[in-house]
Amino acid sequence: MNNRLKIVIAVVVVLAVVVGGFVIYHEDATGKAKGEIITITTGDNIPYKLTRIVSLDPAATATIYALGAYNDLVGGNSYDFYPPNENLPNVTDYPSMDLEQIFNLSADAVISFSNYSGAQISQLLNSGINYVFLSSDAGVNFSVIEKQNTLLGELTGTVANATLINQWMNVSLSTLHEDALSYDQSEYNGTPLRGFYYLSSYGGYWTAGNDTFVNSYFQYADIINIAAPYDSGFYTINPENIVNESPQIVILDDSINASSLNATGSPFASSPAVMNGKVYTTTSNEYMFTEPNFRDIFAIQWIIFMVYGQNPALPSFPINLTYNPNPNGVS
Amino acid sequence: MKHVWLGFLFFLLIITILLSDFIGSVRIPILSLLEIYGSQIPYLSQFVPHGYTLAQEQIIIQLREPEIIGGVVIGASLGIGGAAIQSIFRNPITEPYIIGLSSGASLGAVASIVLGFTIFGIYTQQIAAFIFGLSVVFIVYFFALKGGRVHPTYLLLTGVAVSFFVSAIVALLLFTNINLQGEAFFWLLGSLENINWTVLYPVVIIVLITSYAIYLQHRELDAIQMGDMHARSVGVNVERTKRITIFMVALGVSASVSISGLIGFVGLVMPHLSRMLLGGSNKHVIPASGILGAIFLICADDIARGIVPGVVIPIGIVTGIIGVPFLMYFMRKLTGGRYEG
Amino acid sequence: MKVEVENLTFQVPSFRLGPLDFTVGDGTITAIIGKNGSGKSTTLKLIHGDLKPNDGTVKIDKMKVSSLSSLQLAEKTSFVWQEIYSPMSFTVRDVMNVSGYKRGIDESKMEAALDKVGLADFIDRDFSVLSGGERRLVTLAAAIYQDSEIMIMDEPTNFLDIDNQILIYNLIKGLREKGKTIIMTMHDLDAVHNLADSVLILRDGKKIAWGETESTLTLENLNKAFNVSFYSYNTINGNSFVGSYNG
Repeated sequence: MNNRLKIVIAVVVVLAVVVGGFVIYHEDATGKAKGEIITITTGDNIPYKLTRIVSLDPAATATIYALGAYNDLVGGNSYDFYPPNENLPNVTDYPSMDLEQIFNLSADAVISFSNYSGAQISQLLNSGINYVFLSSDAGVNFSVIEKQNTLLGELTGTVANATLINQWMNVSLSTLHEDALSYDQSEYNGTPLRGFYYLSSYGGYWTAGNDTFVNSYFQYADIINIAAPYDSGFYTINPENIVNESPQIVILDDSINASSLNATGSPFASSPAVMNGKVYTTTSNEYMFTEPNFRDIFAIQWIIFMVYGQNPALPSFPINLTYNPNPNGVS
Repeated sequence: MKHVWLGFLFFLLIITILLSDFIGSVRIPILSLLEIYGSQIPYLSQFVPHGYTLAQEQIIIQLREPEIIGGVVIGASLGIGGAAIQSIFRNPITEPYIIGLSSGASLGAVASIVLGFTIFGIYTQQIAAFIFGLSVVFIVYFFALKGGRVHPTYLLLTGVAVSFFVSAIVALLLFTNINLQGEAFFWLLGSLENINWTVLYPVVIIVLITSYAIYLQHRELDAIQMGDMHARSVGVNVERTKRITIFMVALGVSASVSISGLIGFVGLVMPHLSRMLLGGSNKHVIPASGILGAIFLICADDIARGIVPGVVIPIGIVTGIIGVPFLMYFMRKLTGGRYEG
Repeated sequence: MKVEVENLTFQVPSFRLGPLDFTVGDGTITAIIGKNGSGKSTTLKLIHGDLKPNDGTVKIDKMKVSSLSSLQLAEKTSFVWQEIYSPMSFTVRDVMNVSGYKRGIDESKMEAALDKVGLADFIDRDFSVLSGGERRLVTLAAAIYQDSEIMIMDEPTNFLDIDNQILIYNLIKGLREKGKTIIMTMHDLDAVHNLADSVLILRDGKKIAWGETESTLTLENLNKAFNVSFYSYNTINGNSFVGSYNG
């Protein structure tokens, strides 16, 4: 038994040295500087401009296009819908990440909004690829979106355009809010309507709670988000709360059949929204409700148009783009 | 004859490893691949022409090699663990996960994903899976301990019961944050995609040690396979053997699972296949299960990576869909009534 | 090696065994007889330390069996179980190797042991597809291969044909000649009479009698043990028989 133990120890020591040496050798194999994790908190610390970006975040793809840095994108994802006719190679979706393609594209950064695992991220960093994380979860409001614009501007050398977009956003937001207040005053005596955003029926009544960019839409449109008091972030709300709050308007994701709201047992069946036909389905603009970026302004414009029947004017977009960023058909 | 078989299986493993390096979403010419191999051999590297790109080098060295070696190590630890656990339980339909390993590891991984732990840095998920996997095995073992002895049936039932309990907690965690179900789901089905050299290094060491320690027990395990009382009557310290084996299996498989997620099927089936080829003695079943587990897992990973270009299917799906019909075929073809009686 | 049993008591809710006191002499054959459920197998497991007695001690070679490690125990005693099996395709060789655990593999001794039971050709056969009788013989060969001083056997001839029963009786006799001590449970009273040096008779866990075969295997003791009337008779050849069925 003692001899066995000695053999085991000897084998272990030899293996540890061999494998350890092999690993250290491999870690240094490419000799490239390590990549960095970049967020709006860390800011842009890299000393060079990004020119080979892989975007796994459709919101970021749209922003980079608007910033005029579309040529710096070398890879996209299957959720990219703006700009249309994109022909970037698709580098797969969360939770999978096609690292081989990313390496093959000689990317210098990957932009993501998903919680990729530490192992996947460290693969990128070890190979000298920066990881830009733009949150889309709880806590993202318009001020965060503007910071994300600025960060993308810094990374691609288009800060001037980012500033223009942010200014346009601020003016648009205050215009929209003032308009909404006045429409509310004239139509409902200033009493805000109670609204509900129904994102998905998969596994419950998915909605946007407090601290989400969709919640901000409601605030700027002067509508009370009935889901906000119960939880923050995107979550499944208890249907009893829906019945209790009796929403006056429902904004419906186009993956959900509107007739399901009338069905027996539906918490919406007796709500004023369904009784008065105030259920609005997102269609061409649906990605504005799931992607936090500058195009969310148009989502608020759409809500105001649907709810109050009025068409608020927006300042024209400050950057001349081939593809109109406004899906509402208004420039 | 049996040594020839083992040698042949080992040869097959080497071939599988070399061929798998060609498979991936980016095509790399054979010459570049050979040059990259050459560049990795100390002293020889300076004589090898560097006709490949940096991207190709990164793809081979940073992505494919750790994934394939990960497949070897994980497949081997599952196969060997399966052989040992089946001997201890005297039951050919058990596998390493049955002693609470899988539920514990998934609790660790899912908790770290859902609750966003970062206490161990970027590898928190792996470390949490490893620690929880081991802990649950200990809990199961100590629950099943009665008067200094562990009865196989009691251990089995305790394992199943505790696993149910822990799985319920996992489900609760997933329920509270459905946003992260995607990532957790991927982990629960297993994948070799996230393996890099840094996480592989400790796992290789742990699996080598535990596999060797299990192999050293092969005569004891043979005896226990014939019943605890018989094993004792021929001189085997049954409880000590069980303790060592369960600990080593738990250590090796927890380490493997922590970097790959739950990969089913290998631990259950590879020992059977080994017994069909080489008979029931653990002297041959343990190494053969390890080699076959490694071959099978690399092949499954090749399919997972190669079947849809650019998309990596969780390997657990592949092992199930490809592996089970293959198993049924071989069971019919090769058993010849061995498991009856 | 001697086996000393002192005040041995074992109790479970539905059954109580003992107290038993007896000493098995070195190089003798001891038979334990009694009805099913009288505690024969339990006594063997207590001697072998597989069950813990509530009271009393068993000493093998002057050492308490409870204090022996499994390896020490296996050096002193081997156990021929009524039934052993491997759920995972063992060959006869694998089964023999298990019994050779304490000494390592010795091919020639393994073959010699199998040869004694007439199964030398079976060495590479699959153990689980052998007949019940063949498995029994392999089990005995495995115990011989283990080569301990004391052999404990639980019904070594059950379910065997008469020729194989006789083979085993001769084998047991031969083992005694080599100085082995044998303790076994048996049903065949005729064989007990011809083979055993001492007999322990049990009924419902109680000792009916213990002692040399000649003085213990009496009609009176058998009647007590089995609750039937035994009688002795002479056949036409003048042989003496003990019978219970007078049809």
